[in-house]
Amino acid sequence: METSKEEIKKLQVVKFTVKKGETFEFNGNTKTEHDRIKGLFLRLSNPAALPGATLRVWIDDTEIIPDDTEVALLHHSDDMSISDVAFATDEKAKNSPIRIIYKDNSENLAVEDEFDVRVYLLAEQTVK
Amino acid sequence: MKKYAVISHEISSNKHLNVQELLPASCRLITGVFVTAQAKEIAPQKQTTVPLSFPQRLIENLLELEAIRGLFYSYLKTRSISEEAISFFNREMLPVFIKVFRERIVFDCWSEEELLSYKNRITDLLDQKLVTYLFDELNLFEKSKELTTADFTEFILQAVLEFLYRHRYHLFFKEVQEYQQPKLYECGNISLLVNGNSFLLRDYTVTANRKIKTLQKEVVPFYEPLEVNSSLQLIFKNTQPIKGRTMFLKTYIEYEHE
Repeated sequence: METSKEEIKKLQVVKFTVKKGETFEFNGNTKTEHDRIKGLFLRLSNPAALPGATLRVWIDDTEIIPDDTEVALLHHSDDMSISDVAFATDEKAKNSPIRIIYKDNSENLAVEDEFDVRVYLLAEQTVK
Repeated sequence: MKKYAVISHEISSNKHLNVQELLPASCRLITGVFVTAQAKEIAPQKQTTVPLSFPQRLIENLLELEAIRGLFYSYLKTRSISEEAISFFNREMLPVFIKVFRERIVFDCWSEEELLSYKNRITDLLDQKLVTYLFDELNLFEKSKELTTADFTEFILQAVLEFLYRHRYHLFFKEVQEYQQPKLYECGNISLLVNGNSFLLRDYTVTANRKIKTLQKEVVPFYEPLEVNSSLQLIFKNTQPIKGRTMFLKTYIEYEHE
């Protein structure tokens, strides 16, 4: 007898703090209970630090976002919908490694000395 | 699943660009392209103000204080002519308003100087404009004849709240240093040539410092099948060279991979 499966949308938030002009590397894991990562976007606590900032992202040892991709392309602002901004992907979750290299380029911008970056992973969990 | 390759170049002053780049080996079908340019310049910081949120609840609580409410019961209503009422208001009530709003409204983000500046601002504003607002604009003296004491008190308190709300940008702000974002401008033309014989873009105008919003909407769609180890020729003509300005040109190739 077949059992029906349901895919439930879930969210995982990865947060780190970046200092002005710094390159920050984040290493972590996706949640064990999530099955797949279907997309990602991010938000900065200080959007003035966006111009020139770049990032590179791996999920499950697969490069999702290549080096030197502008953060502005994946940044969600208040006047946009998440579905417009989220970068579509399809990688295994289940405690797989996440690696993010974030390069800030705001030295000559009058922003605060540090700001928070939140990366939102759109995940799916299969429920039997 | 779509993937992206990013080709970045730094172009200084009046230089043009003519380079050949190797595309990723797994890139077999180009489905889109887009180009962004960011021109950074060292610019002075600009002093600007950021409005703070209007402390409505705090002001309402302050207006409930006995020191203020107690002033209104019967006093203002018993003045027989408008000039007497205004004189009484200036003499007895205005100093109380000024004292309460000067001392009791404080924002944590203000420094000592900013707090002092706020105190001077609110003193000047209440001194110069509150009476005119109440008696000329709202016709307070005539209202005192129509309303009961309790309603009249409420009317004045509401009017003061509204008066402060109208001047909120003048009263409640913080001075900050801000970088003036560089203006956008058409910086040049770009041509992209695949394997030396197929144009993806030809003399495509590039605008620098554009506010890029979404990846999906930026991509110019293409359908370009490729062989293994294909190369991309990138020719950029700088039409607006500005001395001392470095430009960062990024070309994004969207492709289907094997």
